[in-house]
Amino acid sequence: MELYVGGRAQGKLAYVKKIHEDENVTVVDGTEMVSFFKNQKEMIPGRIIWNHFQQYVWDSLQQKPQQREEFLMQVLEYFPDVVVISDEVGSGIVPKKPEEREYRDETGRLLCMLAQRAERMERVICQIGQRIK
Amino acid sequence: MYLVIGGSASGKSAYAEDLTCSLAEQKGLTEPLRKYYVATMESFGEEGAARVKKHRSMRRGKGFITIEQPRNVGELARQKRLQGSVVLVECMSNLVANEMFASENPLPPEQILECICSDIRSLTEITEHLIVVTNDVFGDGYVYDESTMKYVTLLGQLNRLLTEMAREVVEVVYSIPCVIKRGKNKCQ
Repeated sequence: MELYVGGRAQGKLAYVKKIHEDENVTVVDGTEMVSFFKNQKEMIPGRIIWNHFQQYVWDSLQQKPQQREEFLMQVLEYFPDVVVISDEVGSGIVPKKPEEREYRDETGRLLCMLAQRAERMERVICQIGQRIK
Repeated sequence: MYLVIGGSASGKSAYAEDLTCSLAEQKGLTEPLRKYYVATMESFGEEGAARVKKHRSMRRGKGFITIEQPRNVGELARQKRLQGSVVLVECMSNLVANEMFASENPLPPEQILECICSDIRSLTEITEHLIVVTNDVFGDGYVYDESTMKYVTLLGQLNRLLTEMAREVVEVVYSIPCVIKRGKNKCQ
């Protein structure tokens, strides 16, 4: 598993696609991973790029309590070479809205977990990556 | 002094605690040095209490003695028990907020900055190792109200001054430590 984080609109997906340009890749966006994993996972050859991971966290927090950690583990187990791309969140003043605070905390917590498991992790700015793991 | 910086839920606390534990277990010692955790956060409401509880459970079993000191951390430098120990202070974002907003007669920002720096310096002098945790609140696109903007500016200035003082500065990015500064310094 590989993890790429960085600010918005920094060209993270383009950078990841360039790194894996010789491979057959499929991009799955944010929350679409849930239905994709349920219905289509057997049909896809090649590598999965899970883009906008933070959107999945946000959406799943708006719904009823979900087993996010368990779902992540299932995805990682089924696609051990998945590439996860996420916006970096958490570097601002504590938000006033409780749902925004929860979103920052949960995104951070899950990204820490992914970072620990990642074989490669990069931080992307201006479509340039800095490898930090 | 070691400075640890990171965003919210970046894993900076866990990193700082591990660093503190490893600094307390120096070679050649029969037993580890005493470890103090200086908590600067005052908890309000259910959410604050939950946050404190989470941090307490993270520290459990690691052998920290907790001291609650939401303001004037320099007072601790007068406590004999801290001499020669390893002290973790968490975190500057709360300390600055408390000094700015929780006091009835807050000092002007420049003086708050001076006070905190001299407090940290005096702790550096009496402890074997000092680890300071601070927060990266500088990376989102919002413009806040005037007093919050003053707070952001003050914390930014403090981080820069502490970085000058520190022998090592590490930014924690989702649990991965990235060294910002490592080298010899006056205030080792």
